[in-house]
Amino acid sequence: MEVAVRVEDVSFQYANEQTYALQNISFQVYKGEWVTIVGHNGSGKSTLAKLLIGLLPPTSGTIHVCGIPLSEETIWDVREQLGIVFQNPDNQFVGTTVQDDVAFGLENRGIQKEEMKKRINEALKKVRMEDFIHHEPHRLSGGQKQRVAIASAIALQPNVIILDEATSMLDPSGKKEVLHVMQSLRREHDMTVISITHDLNEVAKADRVIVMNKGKIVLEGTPAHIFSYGEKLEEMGLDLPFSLQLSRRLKSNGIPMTADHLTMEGLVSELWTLYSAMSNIVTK
Amino acid sequence: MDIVFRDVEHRYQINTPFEKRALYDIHVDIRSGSYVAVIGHTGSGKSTLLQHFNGLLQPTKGTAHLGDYTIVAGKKEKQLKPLRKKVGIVFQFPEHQLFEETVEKDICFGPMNFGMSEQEAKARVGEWLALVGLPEEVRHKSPFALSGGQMRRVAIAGVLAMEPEVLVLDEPTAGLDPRGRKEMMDMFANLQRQKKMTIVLVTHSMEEAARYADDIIIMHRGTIVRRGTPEQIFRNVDDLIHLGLDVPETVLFQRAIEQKFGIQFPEPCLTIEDVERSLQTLFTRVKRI
Amino acid sequence: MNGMIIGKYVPGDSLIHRLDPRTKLLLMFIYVFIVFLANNGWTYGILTLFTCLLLFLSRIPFSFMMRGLKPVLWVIVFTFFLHVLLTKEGHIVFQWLGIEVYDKAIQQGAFISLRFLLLIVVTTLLTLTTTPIEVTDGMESLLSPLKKWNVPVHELALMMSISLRFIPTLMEETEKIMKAQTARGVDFSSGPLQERMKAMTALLVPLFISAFKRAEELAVAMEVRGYRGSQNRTKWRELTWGRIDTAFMLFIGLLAIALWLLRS
Repeated sequence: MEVAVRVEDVSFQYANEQTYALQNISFQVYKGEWVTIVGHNGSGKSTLAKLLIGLLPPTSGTIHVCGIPLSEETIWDVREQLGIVFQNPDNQFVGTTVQDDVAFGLENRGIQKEEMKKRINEALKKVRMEDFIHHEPHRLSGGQKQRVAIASAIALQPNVIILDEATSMLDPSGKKEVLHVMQSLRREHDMTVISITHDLNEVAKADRVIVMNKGKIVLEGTPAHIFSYGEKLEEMGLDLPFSLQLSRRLKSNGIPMTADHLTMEGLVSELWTLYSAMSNIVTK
Repeated sequence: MDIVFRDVEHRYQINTPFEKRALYDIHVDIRSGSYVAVIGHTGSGKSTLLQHFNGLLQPTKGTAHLGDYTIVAGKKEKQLKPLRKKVGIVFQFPEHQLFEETVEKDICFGPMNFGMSEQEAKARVGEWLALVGLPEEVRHKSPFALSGGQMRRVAIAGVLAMEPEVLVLDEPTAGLDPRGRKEMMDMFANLQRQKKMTIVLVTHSMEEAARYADDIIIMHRGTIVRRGTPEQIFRNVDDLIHLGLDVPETVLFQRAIEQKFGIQFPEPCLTIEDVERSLQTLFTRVKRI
Repeated sequence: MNGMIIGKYVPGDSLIHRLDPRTKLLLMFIYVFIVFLANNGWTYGILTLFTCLLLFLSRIPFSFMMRGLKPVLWVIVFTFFLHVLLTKEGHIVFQWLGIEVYDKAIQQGAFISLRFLLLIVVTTLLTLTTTPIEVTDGMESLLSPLKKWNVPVHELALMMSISLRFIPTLMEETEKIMKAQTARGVDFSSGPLQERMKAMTALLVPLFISAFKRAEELAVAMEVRGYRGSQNRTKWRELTWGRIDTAFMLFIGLLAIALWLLRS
C-alpha cells in the first residue's frame, strides 16, 4: 500500500516548557485510509496537527507527506498535498460569499477562470452546498460553513484531508452533516482522511484509530480493537460507545456475554440468544 | 424563586420590515429548586427564551413572573439589576467574557457590580474556586494562561459568585471532551442539591437532559411543543423522532429490546443504570422460573 | 442610525446594478466635481434631470430613497435657512421683525441645498446598487496603476474585503459579550464615568482578544490554502467593461461639457 503520510520518531517541545508536548511519535497513514487521532484536550493531538501542516517544526524526527520530506523549504509543496478543515467555522471563511471562499485557494494557485468556475461548482455540489453559492457567511449555520470549508479544501484537489477538530464547535445536526459529507466523499473519491477529534462518532467511522495520551501514542488499531481497552480509554478521559459500556456492565453482573458489542444490533441479538437459551433450559 | 411565564411572545426588530417572531405562546412554570432542561434545535427559540429569564430581553406580549418581579409586555422595566443578581446566566462559550488580569479579579467582577465589597469578594474567592473544582493556585494567574476547560470554570465561578438563586446554563459543555463534560454536569447537579439552586439547562444533548433534569421542555420553531418529566417525554419516542430530535441511546436500546423480546418495560430507561437494572430483572425472572 | 440607507445594498438587476463598479465609482467621482459647475437654473435643472434618470434606471423606489434621506433632511433645511438669513444680495423680498430676506439669498440657499441633496442621492445610489465587495474590486482595479510606485493595492483591497466579511461576525460578537457582561451586572447605558470606563473594558478586552485570535486563525487558514501575496494570483471576480459602461462615461462627459457651457 502506498504511504500518504509518514511520521517518524517525532518529538516536540514548546519553548519555555519543561515537558515534551509530543514524544517519539511514529505512524503511517496509507492512501485511501481514514485515520482518526483521538485524545482528550491536552493529550498532544492538536500539537501533532500543527506539526503535520507545518505550523510548528518538530524538535526532532521527520514527517513525509506524499513522499515529500516536510521542511521550511518544502512547506508550500507539502501544503499543496493537504486540505485542512479547522475547528472554528467562522475563522476560516475568507470570502465574502460562499463562491468567493472556494475561489480564494484557487486564485492563490493561479488557476484560470474557466477551470475555477468548474471546480467551484463541482466542489460545492460534492458538499451539497450548491444552492448557497451566493450566500454570505453570516447567513449560514456552523455545519454549512464547515461544509464550505471542506469544499474549499477539495477544490484544490489535495491528496490528504485533515479534519482538525472540525466538528467540535458544531451542534449535533451540524456534526452529522459534516460527517455525512465526509463519508460520501470518501466512498466516491477514495480520499485519504486524517481526523483529529474527541468525538466518538468520528472514531467509529475510522479505518484505524490512534489514541494519544500525555504526548505519546498509547494505542493503535481498528475501532473495535481500540474499544476493547474499555477501562484504559475511560481512564484517559474518553468515552465508550453505549453498547460497549452496557456489554461490560452486564458481564460484570453475571450475564454470560461472549463479546463486547460495538453496535446496538449485535448486543440486542446476543441478549436474545442468551435469553431464549435460558428460557428453553428452564422449560425443558 | 419561581418562574412563571404566561402567553409570552417575543418579536425581534418589532415594527420594522425585518420584524421576526422568535417566540410565541410560551407558558412556563419552573418551581424553585428544580432542574429543568430546555431542548431544541438551533433556531428553535431556546436562546431567546433564556434571555427572558433575567430581563435581557422583555416579552413583546404576555407576562413574565420572575420571583417578585413581574415583567409585562409593553412596559419597559428599568430597574432590572436586582433581578440579574438573582438569575445568573452562563452563556455559550462563557470563557469569551473573561477580561481581567487575574482570575481573582475576574471572579470578583460580578459580585462587586452587585454591591459586594472588594474585601468580602476577595475573601470568598477560595470558596467559589472550590465550587467549580479549581485549585487555589490559579487565583493570581491570568485567566488567559489557563487551559480552555479551566477558563470555562473561571467564567462559571464568576457567575456563581453573584450567588444567584437561579442558574441558567446555555450549552455549558459545548466543545469539552467527554471527561470534561461529565465533570461539569456533575458539578451543576451538586450545586442544585447543595445550594438548592434552580437550574435551567439549555442543551442539545438528550443524554444530559434524561440523566439530570427533573423536567424537560421541548421547543420547536419558536414555541413549546412538549413538556414533562423525562419519563413522560421519553415514553413517546416516535414523537421525538418526528420532531427531528435525537433520542437517548438508552431509550433506543430499550425500544430495540422491547421489539425483539415482545415485552414492555414499565418505565423508560433514562440512564445506563436503568437499562442494567431492567435487564437484570428480565434475566433473573427467567432463571427463577 | 435607524433609517439611514447609505451603505446598504439593495439587490437588483437594473441597468445601474449591472454597470461595472469602476464605471460607477468614476461616475460618482466626476459627479462630485461637476456638481460645483452648476450655478444657475439651467445647469441645476440638467443636473437634477440626470440624477433622476439614474434613480429611475436603478429601479430603486423613489419613496425608499426619500425615507433614506429623512435623517439628513434637517441638515439640508438648516443649510437653506442659514443662507437665506446671512446672504445680503439682490432685492429685499420681505422684512419681518428686523430680519431682511433678499431674493438672491433665497436662490442661493435653494441651489446649495439642492447641490447637497443631489450629492447625497448619487452617493447613496452607488452603495444601494453596488455590493461592498464590488466597490473594493473596483477600487483595486482603478488604483492598480499605483502599484508602480509600490503602493500595496492588492493587499489593501484584500484587507478591505476581509474587513467587510468580518463586520457582521464582530457585530454579533459585540452583542454577545455585552449581554454576558450585562448579566454580570454591568450597565452599559448609564452610571458614573468611572463605572462606564470599567464597562467598556469588560466589553473591549474580550472583543480584542477574540479578534486577535480570529486574525491568527484566519491567517493560518489563508496560508494553508496557498496564499502568498498577489504574485501569480488569478482573480475570480473579473471586472468586465461593456459597451454600456463606455456609453455612461461618454454621457457624463457630455454632461460636464454642457454644464461648462451653460453656467453663467
